[in-house]
Amino acid sequence: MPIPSPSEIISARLNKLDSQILQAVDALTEEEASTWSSATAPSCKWHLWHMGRWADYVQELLSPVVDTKTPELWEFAGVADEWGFDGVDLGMWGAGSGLGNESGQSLPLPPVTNVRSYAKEAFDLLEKRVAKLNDESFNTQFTDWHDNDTSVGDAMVGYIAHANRHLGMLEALSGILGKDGSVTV
Amino acid sequence: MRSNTHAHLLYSWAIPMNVSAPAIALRRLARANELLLEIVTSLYDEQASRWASPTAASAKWHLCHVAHWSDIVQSALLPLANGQTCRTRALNSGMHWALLTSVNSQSLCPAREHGGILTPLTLASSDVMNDQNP
Repeated sequence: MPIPSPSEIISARLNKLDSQILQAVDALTEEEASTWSSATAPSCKWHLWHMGRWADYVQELLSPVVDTKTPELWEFAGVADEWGFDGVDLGMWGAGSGLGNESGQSLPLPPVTNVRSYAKEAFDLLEKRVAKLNDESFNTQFTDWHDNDTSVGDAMVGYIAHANRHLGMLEALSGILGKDGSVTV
Repeated sequence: MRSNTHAHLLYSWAIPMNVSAPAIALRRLARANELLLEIVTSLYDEQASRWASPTAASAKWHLCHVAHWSDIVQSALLPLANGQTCRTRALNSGMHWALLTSVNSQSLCPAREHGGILTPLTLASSDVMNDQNP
């Protein structure tokens, strides 16, 4: 078996991660997905929305690296308008980071099926961008969301690490809800 | 409405960064380990040991699990550091776990009472790397 390149590894890991996030949410009812088990523990729906927003944000950032620059679905496809997010504080990067629990809980999130559809579209777009990375673009200079000068590849590993933390939250919250709380292959 | 824009994000096609893949992996691994320890350090033993439900493992269990995985992987990587071929099935001899559990297995695996979780026996007898590669 040929040893995959770093960009191929990133692409395969991202695809796996996205399918695990969706799988975790698919096991939940609307009520379960919307439950905040405590005031400091955001719901699975919130985590899914946050992951969808991050994927959308990053797919836009990566678009000129691998293709032509395209906007975020969130605005371009009218998702924000449709869900009534006009004027709502979205936190840092417009992705819900640093919002705080009170603001996070008050977001006008629609039913989890709608959030899933948006997240899936954003995941698919990001996966397409990442699948186009090669050795050259993997090593392209990139000033990331924390203003760190790094490479596209390193930033994508950071993205995956962050998303995996939220996958862990989804699994843990599922466990609290009485579902199988362990991460599987 | 956004609290921040990404106008600061720059691209430069001409300048390769040459952040090697091993350097990326090491930096991100160090960060993940740092976060894990930071989270657990902020908890009392009672908090860390609590299972919020029978299907939600405690923070202590998660810490034990991740530490054990680190031990398995460091053992698997050891031959590479010595210039040999990595053989994931020949894991146990280099694991700290195997050495330390002969002294005190209970202190290393506090969640054993919940069944089937990371006992020295199950790890020693299973193809962990092949079956549960995360």
